[in-house]
Amino acid sequence: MTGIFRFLKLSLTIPGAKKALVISQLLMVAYAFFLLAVPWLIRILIDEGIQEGDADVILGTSAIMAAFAVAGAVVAVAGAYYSARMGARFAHEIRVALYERIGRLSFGNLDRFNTSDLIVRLTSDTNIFKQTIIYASFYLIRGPVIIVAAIFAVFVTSPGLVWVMIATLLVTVIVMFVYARYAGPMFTDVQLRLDTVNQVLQENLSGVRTVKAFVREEHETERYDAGNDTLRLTARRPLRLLAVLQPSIFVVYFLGMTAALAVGGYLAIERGTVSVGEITVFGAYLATAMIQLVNVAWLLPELAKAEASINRIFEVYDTEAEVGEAPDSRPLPEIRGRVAFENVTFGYRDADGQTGEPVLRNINLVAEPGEMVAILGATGSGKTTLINLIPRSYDVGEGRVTIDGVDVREVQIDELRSHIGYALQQAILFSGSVIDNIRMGRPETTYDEAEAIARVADAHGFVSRLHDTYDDRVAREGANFSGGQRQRLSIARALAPRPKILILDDSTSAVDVATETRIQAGLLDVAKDTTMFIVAQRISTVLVADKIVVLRDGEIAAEGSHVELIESSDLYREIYESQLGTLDEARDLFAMAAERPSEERPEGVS
Amino acid sequence: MSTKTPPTGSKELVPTPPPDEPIDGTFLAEAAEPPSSSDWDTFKRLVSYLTRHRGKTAVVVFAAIVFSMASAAIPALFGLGINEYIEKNDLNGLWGVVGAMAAASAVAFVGLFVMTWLLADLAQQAMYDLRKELFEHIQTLSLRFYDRQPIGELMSRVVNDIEMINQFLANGISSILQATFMILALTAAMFAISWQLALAVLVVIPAVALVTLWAGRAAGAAYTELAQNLGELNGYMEETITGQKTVQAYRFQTTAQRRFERLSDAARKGDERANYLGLLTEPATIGIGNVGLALVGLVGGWLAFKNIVMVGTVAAFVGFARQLTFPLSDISRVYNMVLQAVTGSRRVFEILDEEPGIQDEPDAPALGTVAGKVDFDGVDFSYVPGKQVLFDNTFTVEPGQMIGLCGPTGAGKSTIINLITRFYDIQSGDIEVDDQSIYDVQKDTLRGRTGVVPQFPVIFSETVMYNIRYGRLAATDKECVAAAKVANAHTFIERLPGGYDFVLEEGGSNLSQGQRQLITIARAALSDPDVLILDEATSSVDTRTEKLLQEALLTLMKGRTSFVIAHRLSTIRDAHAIIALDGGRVEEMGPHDELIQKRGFYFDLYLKQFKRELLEEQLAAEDEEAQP
Repeated sequence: MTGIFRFLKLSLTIPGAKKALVISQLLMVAYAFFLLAVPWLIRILIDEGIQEGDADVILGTSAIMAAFAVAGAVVAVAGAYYSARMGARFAHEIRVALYERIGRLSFGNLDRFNTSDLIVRLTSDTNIFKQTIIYASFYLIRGPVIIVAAIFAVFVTSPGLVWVMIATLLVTVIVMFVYARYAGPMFTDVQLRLDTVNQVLQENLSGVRTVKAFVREEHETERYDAGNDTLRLTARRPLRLLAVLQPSIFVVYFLGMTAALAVGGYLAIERGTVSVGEITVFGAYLATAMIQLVNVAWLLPELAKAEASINRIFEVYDTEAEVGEAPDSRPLPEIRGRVAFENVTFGYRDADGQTGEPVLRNINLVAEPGEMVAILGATGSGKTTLINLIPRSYDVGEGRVTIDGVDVREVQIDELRSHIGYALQQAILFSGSVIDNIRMGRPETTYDEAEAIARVADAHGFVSRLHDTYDDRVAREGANFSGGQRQRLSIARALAPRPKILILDDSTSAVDVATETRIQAGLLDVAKDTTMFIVAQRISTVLVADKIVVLRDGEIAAEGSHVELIESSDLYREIYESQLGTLDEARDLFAMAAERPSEERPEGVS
Repeated sequence: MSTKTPPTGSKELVPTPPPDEPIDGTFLAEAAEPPSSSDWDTFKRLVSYLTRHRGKTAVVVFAAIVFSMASAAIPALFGLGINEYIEKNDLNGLWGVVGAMAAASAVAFVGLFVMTWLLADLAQQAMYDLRKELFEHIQTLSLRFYDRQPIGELMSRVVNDIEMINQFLANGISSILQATFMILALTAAMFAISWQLALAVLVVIPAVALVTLWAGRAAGAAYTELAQNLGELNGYMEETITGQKTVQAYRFQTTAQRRFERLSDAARKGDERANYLGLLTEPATIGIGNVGLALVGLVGGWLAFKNIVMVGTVAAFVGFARQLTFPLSDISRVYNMVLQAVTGSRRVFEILDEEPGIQDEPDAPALGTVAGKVDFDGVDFSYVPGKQVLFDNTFTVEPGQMIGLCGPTGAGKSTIINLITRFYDIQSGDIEVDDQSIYDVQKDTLRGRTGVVPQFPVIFSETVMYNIRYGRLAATDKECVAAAKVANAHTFIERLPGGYDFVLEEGGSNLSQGQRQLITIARAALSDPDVLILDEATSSVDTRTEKLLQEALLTLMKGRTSFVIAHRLSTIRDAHAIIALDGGRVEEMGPHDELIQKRGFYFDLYLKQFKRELLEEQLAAEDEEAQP
């Protein structure tokens, strides 16, 4: 329970948390008192009122009972309020703290945690913990108090029956324990089967075109049915166990009552040490204690889950950012934009902080201010890794990356990134409006500026056709825009801060070549002083670059302009011809294009 | 006594890439209003799944009655023991009562056991039936249904709704049965013993009902609000975590943090309220129950004082009142579960009531092997009414021809291939295969003659063999391997651990993109279609894989009528004819060379990818070099 305790200690610093905690538990103890006072009063009513024929006692005790019942309810309702309030507040604090921490992690940390993992910690882990805190605050601490007090009350009023009470509670504990022992793994099993069934459904839905094209609807149904039936049988098992547990708990209570009548009756008749009132209230004490016991028993496994959850949360919370700010980091107010890789070697770190196989080796590369550098290479050749070293998404292993001669690691991270416009490979938009997305890197961007930028990114056309143009709604993750549209808006977003260095990571892969050509022409036009890095798989993307770098297995295999490379590099020529055909063919085409009378030439293909 | 089941974690869902053709976003986002059927009807329909086995259902109800009667007997016997034996000092008689109580306990055990056990069977059978029906029905729905909502959303909706129904069937029904009969039995027993005391105990029931109903309704509303708040919070969180790298690249953390905090705080308030309302029913019910107990004391005391009842009767009623709080708090607990199950099942039934998609004409003939002539005759088509995508498309493709489909994004390439397999029905015109309208034949047999290789390979998390055999289920291992050889996939499959028995991960993530494509080509090869439809993946820089893919595709297309959304030069040049599309209209059609000679729309489209000016410069440079 170290995680839970650590959290509770931390939580005391949250304003109001300590007060809520103390008040809720005081209320719960008060509730315990009222809960147990009622049977006590019944005993008095029976033994001193009814048995003695004292009407005043009957009247008075009933009145007090009613008052206590109401008081108990009021106190408990207040306790419920404080418990709920505390739990909700904790969940909020955890979410906010965790989210803030995630914002400070660097790419390496993010890779290792991976997205769905982080989301799970922020949602279901936080939720599990919150729910447990609420239940624990409401049931857990008062549980043992009430149980002990109930036993004590029986001990004081009718010591002869206390063993019946303890025995009944012990049997309950054993029954619950056995149940928990077997039910846990069964529920895990059910979850596993459920996942299998859901996976078939998921694959069926996302592959619906393939399923229909091959007319495999029946086959899919059979496949689903197999998992479905296994799930039915698996899910039945814990329910059947419950079918044993539930009646067992009832029967234990009933037998406890029976034993009370037997033992109590025997003691009353043979020895006269137990009164009718005492026998009667025994049942009430027993029921009260058993309910608490069952509640606590349900909660214990939940506590174990909450501990696991809070530890997963702490794991993120305690993570140090891989790329940190140097203690003597300096500002970098203005740059010209010369980027140099000096003998750079880089490998990704694993979870233990160990650097793995280098994915980049001995990279030496200079981009002069205003140059367009294209990086070409197959998947996994290290293209994205290379450009990620510029904004310090990762730090180099050996060598250094400099901007205008300054090692990027010596610069304040925010300053460094303010000079770089970076359109990531995965073009994600965020919910909000179109302009919100364009403005992300520079909030003061005006509508006019946004429009000008969007024109360069060839996004103005489709944006202007939207109902509310730049104020139009963007759905979560930009789901209401096509891949090509997202890419173009993501380019606009990168341009908005008027960066000196622009990085486009495969940012035109989903648009057709004509559009890409327009975008590139626009870029060359407005961003003359901007150093550009363009990562691509498509040869037509890189043709216009001042410098093309061909990466193969983490090393620079060739470097130069298109005109140079087509002569000097076999690798480059091979890629070129595989995608665009031989140069002779191109020559013929252009000859034909030249012959064509100009009036026949149709306008662009937009 | 409460029963809780751990919540089910939801799996991360793989989003599907949006289709090539732009589909109106608002249409995607908003599903049609559900036809309003009352909650009660939905509830009855849900319960009807449970009561399909009449015999078992009858036994369950009978067992519930037995359990309730035996349970009610316990406090009655308890009172009897005090009145008739302890008060009269008759120890031997007392043993008889004790024996009877033990017997009643045993009967209660058996009754509840039988009831819960059979209910577990019925509940899981009902869940099985429901899931099966749903899955089978989903198979019959047309792609228009899928276009209406993102697959991920549909998936999580189905999963969550089914889970809510499951919670109710697995836990809720049992509590409701148990509680209902228990209240009835206790009431009967109480009236049999003393109507005055019975009334004193039962006075509180309306109060409990009121509190339960009020708190239940308020909590229900609060949970709905919380779900909305959490939906917004989690949505924002998911997209900013998924796009965290972008957030960081734009130093957007502070802004995102502010919005997140605001959303989280809204969720906190909802959380507080929902949980508070959820918690308060139990102590409120117990509190009211205790007021009832005080009433028993008062009325019982007065009655005993007047010698109308004996002290044991009061004791018995103390037990009755206590025992009555169990079913009452059970019902208050289950109330929300019922509401959620009704909401969930309404949505599930909505899907079940969705009209099946494209239907064959009655007595439509099967389509046998075809030569592969394909005609489009004046085809007009729109995905969404009012937004026409294809205009008067007319062309003829001869058997065995390979047709390349070209055109800018959104020109209608994907739409054309969607229509050939009859994924959608057209608005006007006709599509014919071997001069037979595809709308006159059984669509399954039409699809049996066509084969599809999609742009994004669909891989099932099963063995490689399974994935290939998907093309023809009756194929032998040998035939599958032969197909893999045709697809150039055999070599890499051999090198996988376990070869063809290698189990693929979800989405085929343990294979490279190129390898996944080779497997889908093998699948199509195995199905040996007469008409092949191919949405090529864009070519990559990995020239080795590229060659394998090109070869495989060309082999596959040989001798079959093929439609290819072409990205590869080799495919384009080898095509018998190219259909150049623009804005949903056929601009040009003919072989590559012919279209190039024509120097029209296609010529320009083709030229675009060369970055003409640059190449001209280069060619000029080469020419200069060539001159002495």
